[in-house]
Order: sequence, then structure tokens, then C-alpha cells
Amino acid sequence: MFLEVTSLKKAFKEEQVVKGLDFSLEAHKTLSILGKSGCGKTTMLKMIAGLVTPDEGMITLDGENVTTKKPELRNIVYLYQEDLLFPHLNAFENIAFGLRLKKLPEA
Amino acid sequence: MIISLSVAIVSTISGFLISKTVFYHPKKRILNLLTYFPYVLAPVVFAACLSYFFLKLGLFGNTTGVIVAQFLITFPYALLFFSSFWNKKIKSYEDLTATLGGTPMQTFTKVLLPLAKSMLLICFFQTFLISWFEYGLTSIIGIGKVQTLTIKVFLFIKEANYFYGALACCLLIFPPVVLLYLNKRYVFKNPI
Repeated sequence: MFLEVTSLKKAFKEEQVVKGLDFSLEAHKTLSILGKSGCGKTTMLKMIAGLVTPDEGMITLDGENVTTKKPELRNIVYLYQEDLLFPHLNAFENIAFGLRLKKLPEA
Repeated sequence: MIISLSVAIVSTISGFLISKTVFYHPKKRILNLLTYFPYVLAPVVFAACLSYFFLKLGLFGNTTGVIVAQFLITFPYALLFFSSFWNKKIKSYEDLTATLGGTPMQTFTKVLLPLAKSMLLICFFQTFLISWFEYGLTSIIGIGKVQTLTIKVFLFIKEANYFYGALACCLLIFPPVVLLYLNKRYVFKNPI
């Protein structure tokens, strides 16, 4: 399995948002997650991307435990629903932004 | 000029950095409320409250003391000024940069600084002007030993020395005019 999520839990104050989530995903497969507003879809995605720290559970990516790994080291991009183009960059610079952060060669 | 520049630079930089910490702090409402404290009191009363501590620390009647005292006025201003910068959208930009592989330093230099450029400049101008025209606090903490141009203007007028008073007044308004010009020329013509 490429992505494995095991017993993932997250609570904000008193409210348990994610309650022991388990799923796995093979490489090159697409997974759709549906649910009503506030059921924890965004929190789950943010935990996988490393933007939210889970209270319990484990996230394994390509065989590696990434549960406590920093988001910049995970190689998972989390895209927000709203448009997030950087206003100080032009179209080309916006597209090249991620590649430039990783200091990849220009040509 | 050196006092005002030092105060403006330090309060703008520290205000920008610490306002971020305040924004993400769970008790940000209380912290935001505390930043209004220096403005609840008149500068002279605020100076009287500070004078005890400044005497103990040996900051009374010297330039360092005046810089610290003025910083205590301009720093909360900078905090309040930048509190409007930090919002959910900025947090989203930070998160996006992190997932794209950006380190916290890259996020700061390539995203946060360019986005805050105009606000940083405006904050610098305004804190400079607060410090430049500060009289009450400076005169009490400086006890006449630290002579700023604003204090000189008051002295010349008290002495009925109209020639030097007018000259000092002209010099006093020169930096604000330059800053207003730069503000109009560069900040508002190139908004982010």
C-alpha cells in the first residue's frame, strides 16, 4: 500500500473530530471522501499533509512512518478550496514556486 | 533622528514577528487587549509609571532610556498594526508553502515578507513619526539631558527664541514630508 492510515484520532478541545480512522490507498489510485460539513474530512487531509498533528494513530507513506514528520519533508501537497495564488508573483512564478522552493534546476 | 530610526526599525521588526506569535496564541484576545495599555495612560503619566523601573535599571537621563521608553509606545502600536495582517488566508499561504516543500525560513522570506512589504513600510513610517514627535515621555525619561528636535522646538518657543524656533520647526517637519512623499510615491503606487 502506498498510503496507510491506522487508528487516526484528533480532537479539538472537547470535540472528537476524527475517531479512529483506518484506510489504505494503493499507488496511482484515486480515493474520494464524502461527508457532511464538519465531519472531519479537512482535518484528516491536513493530518496526512502534516499540517495538523494527530492525537493518536499512524500515517505510513510508501512504507515510511510520517506521522510526526514535518509537512515540508512529506512530499504531499494540500490544496485549499479557495484560490491561493501568490499575489506578489506572476503566473509563471506561481507555477514555478514549488519547484523553486526545492531548488530544482530552471531548465 | 538616530533615536527615531532605531525605535522605528526595532519596533517594526519585532512588532511583525511577535504579532505572528500573538495571532497563533490561544489567549490572543487578552494579549491584544494588553497592547492597548500604553495608550490608556497619557504619555506623561506613562513616563511617571516607568520612571521607577528606569531609575533602577540606570536608564534615566540617557539616550538608551529614551529609545527603550519610546519603544514601549511604538511596539504595541506595531503589534496592533500587524494584527490585521495575520489571518486565515495568510495561514493558508503558509500551509501551502510548507506542503510544497518550503522551510519556515523560505516561507518567511519568499511569502510572508513580500506579502507584508507595504505594511512593513507603512509601519516603519508611522512608528518613526510617533517617535519623532514624542515629547512628554522623552522629556521625563530624558530629564533634559537627551535633546530631541521636538524638545528643542518647545525650548526655543519657551525662550521666545523665534528664529531658532522657526528653523527647528522647519527641520521637524522635513522627515515627515519626505516620508509622506515616499509613502505616496512607492507604497500606494505599487500595492501588493
